[in-house]
Amino acid sequence: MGKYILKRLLILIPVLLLVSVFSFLIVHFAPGDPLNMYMRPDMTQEELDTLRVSLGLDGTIVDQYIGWLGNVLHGNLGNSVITSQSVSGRMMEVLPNTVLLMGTSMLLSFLVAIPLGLAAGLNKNRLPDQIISFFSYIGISIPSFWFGLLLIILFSLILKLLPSSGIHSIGETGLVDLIRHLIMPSIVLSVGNVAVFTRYIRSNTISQLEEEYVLTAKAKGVGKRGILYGHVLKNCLLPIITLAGMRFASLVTGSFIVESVFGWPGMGMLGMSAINNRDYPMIMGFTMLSCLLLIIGNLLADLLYCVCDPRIKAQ
Amino acid sequence: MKKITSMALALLTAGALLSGCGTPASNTPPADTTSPAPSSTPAPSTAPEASTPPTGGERVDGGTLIMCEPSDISSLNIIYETGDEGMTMLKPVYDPLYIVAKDEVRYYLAESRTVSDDGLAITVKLRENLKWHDGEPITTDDILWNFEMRMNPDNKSSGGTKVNGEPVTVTAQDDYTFTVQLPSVSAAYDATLGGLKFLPKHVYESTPVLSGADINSTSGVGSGPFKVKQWNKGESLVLERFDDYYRGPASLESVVFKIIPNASAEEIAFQNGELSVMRLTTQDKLEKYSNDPNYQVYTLTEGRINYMGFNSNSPLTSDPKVRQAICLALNVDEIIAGAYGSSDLAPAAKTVFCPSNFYYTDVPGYSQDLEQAKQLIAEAGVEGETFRLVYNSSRENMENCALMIQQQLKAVGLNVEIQGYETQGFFEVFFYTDAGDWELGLNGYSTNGDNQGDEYMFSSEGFLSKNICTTDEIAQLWNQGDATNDPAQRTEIYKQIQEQIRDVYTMFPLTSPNFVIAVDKRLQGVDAIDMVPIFEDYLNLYMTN
Repeated sequence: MGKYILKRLLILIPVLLLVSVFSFLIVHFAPGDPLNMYMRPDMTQEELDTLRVSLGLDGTIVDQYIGWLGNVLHGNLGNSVITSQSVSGRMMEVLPNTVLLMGTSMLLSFLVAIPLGLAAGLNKNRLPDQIISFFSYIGISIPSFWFGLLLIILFSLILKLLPSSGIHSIGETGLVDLIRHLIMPSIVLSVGNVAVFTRYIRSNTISQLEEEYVLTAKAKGVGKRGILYGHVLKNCLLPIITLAGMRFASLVTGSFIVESVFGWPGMGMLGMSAINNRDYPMIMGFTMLSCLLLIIGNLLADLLYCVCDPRIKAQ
Repeated sequence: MKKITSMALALLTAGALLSGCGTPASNTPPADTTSPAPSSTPAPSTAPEASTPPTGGERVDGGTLIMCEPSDISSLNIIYETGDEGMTMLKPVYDPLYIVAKDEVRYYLAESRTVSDDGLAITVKLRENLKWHDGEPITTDDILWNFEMRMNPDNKSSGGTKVNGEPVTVTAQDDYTFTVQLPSVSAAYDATLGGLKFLPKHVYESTPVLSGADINSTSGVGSGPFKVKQWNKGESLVLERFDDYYRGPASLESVVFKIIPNASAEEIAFQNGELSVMRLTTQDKLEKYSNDPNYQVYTLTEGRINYMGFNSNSPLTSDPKVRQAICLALNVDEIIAGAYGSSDLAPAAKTVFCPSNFYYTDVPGYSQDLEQAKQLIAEAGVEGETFRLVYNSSRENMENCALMIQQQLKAVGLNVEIQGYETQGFFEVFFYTDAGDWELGLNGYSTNGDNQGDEYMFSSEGFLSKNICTTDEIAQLWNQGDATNDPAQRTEIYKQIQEQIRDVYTMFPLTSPNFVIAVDKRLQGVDAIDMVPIFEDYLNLYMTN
């Protein structure tokens, strides 16, 4: 097991390196120059050159990449070329907001998707399954910005029950106020997840019910409820580990669209702003963090799989 | 099922409400497109000391003005917040010395200012009762330190410290009087100096380099009528009334800026009463809010010119005949009608100066002449050629303008391919690369007030020089215009510039857009000063019941 983890961690190094190279190239080849943000009509070329050097934007793209990589290897993601703030410091400022939103939505997704998926699987091709499947397809298809706006119109404008944007109302810092702001974006983020998770769990439930161990349990006289909760449920939940691992990165990268619609000051909005301003160090910091967490999430999922299913460990 | 039906009905109702069906506007104030008289040296006027009298309901002191911006500022330090967000959100926090307007000078931190006869020295007298938000007095010591700090290249904010590339010299006569000595005459520097905002020396002097320093996000001590109460990064900026303000406390108790990146979410928040002000950028919205008794629509001058530039690096548009043909093929009024719905949002522009420019002259613009356009196209041999038109897709209505131009040029036998870029990409293509891979480009620039920095834009090293062809004569005229303080001479020079740019067919003026806002009807004093970014003087604003 230790050897396996070490091997996976070693693979992490070339993967991150490749991701960094490609990200760096893509970001720098996009039209636009962060220096434009500093340009004023009265600046001379000499001043611009000095500014370019001070922002680390001089030299070839290879020089810039090596400089960036050297800083990263020393634990320094650099400073924003727009605000001069530390990239890691800025990300840490907004990270709690994103973790709160994405964590809530993920929890909500699992809480809703597990019973729905099981119910659909147990009632394969019957009315409950068809209803759940119908709403799953809608959930998968519905654009999040459109659904978000509909919720805002309904709950903020018409019913006046919930605030339309932000984390807190002006002058409020309490938990109740926070929860009121959290409700709509969490629901919007959860809808797509619930739909996908439900389909996974339904499919797995159907296949598990056809397994021989279910037949054996039936032969031994175990009741339907006992089979479901004692045997099938555990196996059905295995894909949840994979899904959770795959979504682990989104816990910190947030959602560009939902954060934008609900004015939620998280990593998504930070990333969007960085891209619009060609803030190279911020974009790279954001990309590398996403990549790192995606890989770690998958590794954790694999390890959890081994813990939950000894057959995989044996393989 | 019943619940689902009710929910569906509610959602449909909501959708219908959002789409907003209205009848044409009736109470929208007309756009200011009159041709002002040539400017003379602005006559000094005293600062606006009190709010205008109520025009709506009964005036009440207090209340909160809530506005929104699509993105947040990155610090509370005004010298680093020169974008639209910073200029708007920090305007109530930092006062300028004075504002040079077309017919007057509005004094804020300064009590008076004198420009020497040779135009090389500007002496400014500060008011004696000025205070920073922490109660410390504002003196020339602060002003001198600000110039010194800006001149340090490490601080990356040298605005207002140089004239034609040479540094200015600042000396103090006493605690309240200082003189800025210019290395050469720059008529527009007076306005530049007046608009500068200053930081408190006692707060910032212990930080050797301000660029990137933490203090930029924590201090926010300014000199304006409102002080920073709370900054929730990425979410809101809350300002509260500064009771020791040198012109007396504001009527409003607080000003809040909320960050709402999504335009649809912004409109819902406005309708929900969570915002007091919203900019209107489409004819539908203009009509909708003009007819709603809960709102008042104001039309302010944005002070910009939107234009179509011709790329001199492309073989097609380097030919003056082709450029002339295109200018004669276009009909601006039709473009505006198609792109904006009416001229309420964007009146047609005749020259490359907007009417609020001090030296705008009512010179004749281009008139559509399809026959002559076709003849020129035939002579140039470009019939059936394809022209690439680039535009900034982040700017409202630019795409619609591009589509209208595409249609109109089709009528004279020219094909147009349109290509939108987001802001940074567009600037790179339009200003900074000279590959000649586009022929036409839609852009805009501010020409409000005096011509600050415009001479550089048109110079051989300026923003426009890479692609938009300009002549040496025009560049020289720009320099001459800034190098004299004689108003009559400047008026004549800038008139020549407008005429010459017209005659070389390098920039086709499209619109001089208005800044149209819908405002909660209880808020008054909104249009006391016709200036963008909005609300130059927050003392003018008050609530009515």
